[in-house]
Amino acid sequence: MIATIIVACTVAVLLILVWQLTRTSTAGADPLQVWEVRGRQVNVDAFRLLVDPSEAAYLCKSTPRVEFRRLQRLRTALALRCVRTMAGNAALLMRVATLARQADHTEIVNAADRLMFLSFRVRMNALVAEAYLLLKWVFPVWGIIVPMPLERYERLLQTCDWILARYQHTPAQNRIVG
Amino acid sequence: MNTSNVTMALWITPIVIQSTIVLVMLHRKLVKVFPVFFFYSVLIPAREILLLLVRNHRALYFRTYWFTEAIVVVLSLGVIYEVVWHLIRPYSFLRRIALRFFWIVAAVALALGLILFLSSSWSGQWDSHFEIIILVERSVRFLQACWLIVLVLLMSRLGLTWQYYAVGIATGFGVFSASALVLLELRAHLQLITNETLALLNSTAYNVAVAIWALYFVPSRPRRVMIESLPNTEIARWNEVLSEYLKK
Repeated sequence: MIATIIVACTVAVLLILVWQLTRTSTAGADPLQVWEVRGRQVNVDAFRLLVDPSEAAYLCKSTPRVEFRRLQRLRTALALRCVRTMAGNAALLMRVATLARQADHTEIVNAADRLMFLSFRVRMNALVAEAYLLLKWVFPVWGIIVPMPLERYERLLQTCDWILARYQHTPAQNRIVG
Repeated sequence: MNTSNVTMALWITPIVIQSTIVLVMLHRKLVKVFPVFFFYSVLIPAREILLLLVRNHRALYFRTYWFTEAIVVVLSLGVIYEVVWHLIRPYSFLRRIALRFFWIVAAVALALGLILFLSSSWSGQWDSHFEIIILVERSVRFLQACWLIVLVLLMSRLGLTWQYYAVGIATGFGVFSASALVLLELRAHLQLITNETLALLNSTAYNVAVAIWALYFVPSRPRRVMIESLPNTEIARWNEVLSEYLKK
């Protein structure tokens, strides 16, 4: 019976994932166009305030307990949305970097490698931060510090801007084929 | 249409389609990109033609089928590993850790498969060798399914790029592995279906998988376009999402 349950669960999970893969796969889409449509920057300073423990402490002192919990959950939900947007942007920039690596310019290729590595690290950090934020949403009073190295995300955007700026000045024959 | 006609149709259709896939792969120079999948696509029609020729010699058919089935199952694991390698190769920093992770998953899934195999009690009333073979195949298909699950999860959680043909191969194998696992469970463990039904449904599932591969490999892909300009990073527009929330 246990074997049947394990097999049934495995098959169900596999079929759901395969269904999602074929539905959501944007493998054929041009990441630059996707970036134009879906790419959003997060207000990093606002995010810092949302996860700042001293802000939470001030809020705790100045508001009633119930109201503090409600506000803290709202702040956490917003921070979670920010982290998910950052993770989405990092995933998109990973695809941009994959394309940029096909360019002829060594400088652009090197920058694309950096972009890819940074995107991956931001993505990993976002996964951890998401878990922390979910915990924080469940226990709003808990003074847990969210580990999200924002300077890494900022460096990621800078690298992307650098590639885009360099790319605009490269001759047409060197441009990336998507 | 009687059963033998359906069986014959299900037998011949994938031979034709898979041969077409082989030709398309040769034409598009995809052999070097997916060598294991190419070999798999060559081997299966060759085996099916061989089985068609010896179908009236029961003992020879049985031996040929199960000997080649073992190779096919191992090769299908190789194809999944090839897809993993193909998708992870561009990420040099990820290669070693991801491949190690896949081997760990393989070890765990193999251990689970072994437990599934040992925990299954076979009746001993019918051909017990055949029953053992089916149970072993179920365990290997279980490993295949686990690898596919981890592959799709890893790719989606890390936001890595799926490539067109890799999606097709993974989807085809995903559908076939899931179906094979269910059918083997129904036959070997629960004993709810007969050998004939197992063969017919397994063949149907394989036809579906081949059709999926054909959908990805045979039609010509839209021509890649040269990108003339890149979007500017509009800082002001980017801020709007969070700013709107903060205003609320």
